[in-house]
Amino acid sequence: MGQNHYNSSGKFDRAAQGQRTKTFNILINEQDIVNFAAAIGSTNSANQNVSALKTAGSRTIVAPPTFATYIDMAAIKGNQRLQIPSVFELVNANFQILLHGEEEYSYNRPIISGELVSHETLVVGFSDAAGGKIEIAHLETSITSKERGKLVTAKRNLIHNLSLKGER
Amino acid sequence: MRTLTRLINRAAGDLLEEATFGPITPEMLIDYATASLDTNPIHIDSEFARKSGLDDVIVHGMLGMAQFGEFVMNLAPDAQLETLSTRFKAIVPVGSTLRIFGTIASKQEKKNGLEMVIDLEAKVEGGPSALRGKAVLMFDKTQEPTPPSSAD
Repeated sequence: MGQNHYNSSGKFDRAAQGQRTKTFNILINEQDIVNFAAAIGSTNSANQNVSALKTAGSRTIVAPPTFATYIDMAAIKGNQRLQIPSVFELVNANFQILLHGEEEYSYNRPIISGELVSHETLVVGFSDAAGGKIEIAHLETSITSKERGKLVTAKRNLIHNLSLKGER
Repeated sequence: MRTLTRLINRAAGDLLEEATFGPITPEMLIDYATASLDTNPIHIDSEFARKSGLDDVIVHGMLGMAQFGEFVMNLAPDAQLETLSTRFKAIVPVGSTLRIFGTIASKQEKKNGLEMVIDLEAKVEGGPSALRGKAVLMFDKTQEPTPPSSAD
């Protein structure tokens, strides 16, 4: 299971349009935010100190803006571990030719540590570009706090570059 | 607060101070893969990358986008980030240094504060423009005195 999507081949499965991943719940750990902030070279004190405590009104830290991608990957891997199809399986992502096209985050509230959040991704649809050399999967992910409501909406385009020489 | 005041007083069309990130080493990609859980081998396994027709591993697009997030949060740590978007235009090879540029695209009074749109670009040093982005920031009026120069 876990790794099998790396071996998937072929093109996106367009029958996945309109499908949603199973809701995945995750507790946001302070250390995961700290590790992520370090890995992106963050020098922003909001990720690690008191100014963030004031923002949140409690002893929590605020995640960097793109930390939503960690929640996304945690949900994907969590579902795979439970043998529930992640969005990669839903759309039949072929990792040898997969690229990231666009990402857009709309923030309602910051992601903070110590909170239980739910994650769900909708396969919005598919399109083609560059005279058929590129196919695009359009996805929309919602991250919602059990206590504070909607935190982030992420719109994402995944691309299969059909001119790369991955097996297909 | 001085940074916030400075940014809030800047005008549409102003070029912001450039930031750099890198050179991005294979170890940094492994760190990012570990911390972000994005362990797609195209970022950490040279052999896999070469099988895909690349010269070597490539930088996670989201690590580039994270630099846009840092750029705007460092400029305006107390502003509310409303949206952050990125278009990934070119592959960033391992070993690259990214130069991050920002321009104030617009500045507009809204009901709930002052909205500032910042156009973002990341260029590979000595190479192409790799990412383009946009951030929308909202400055809460109650947190900051109205800047004297803001007539629009």
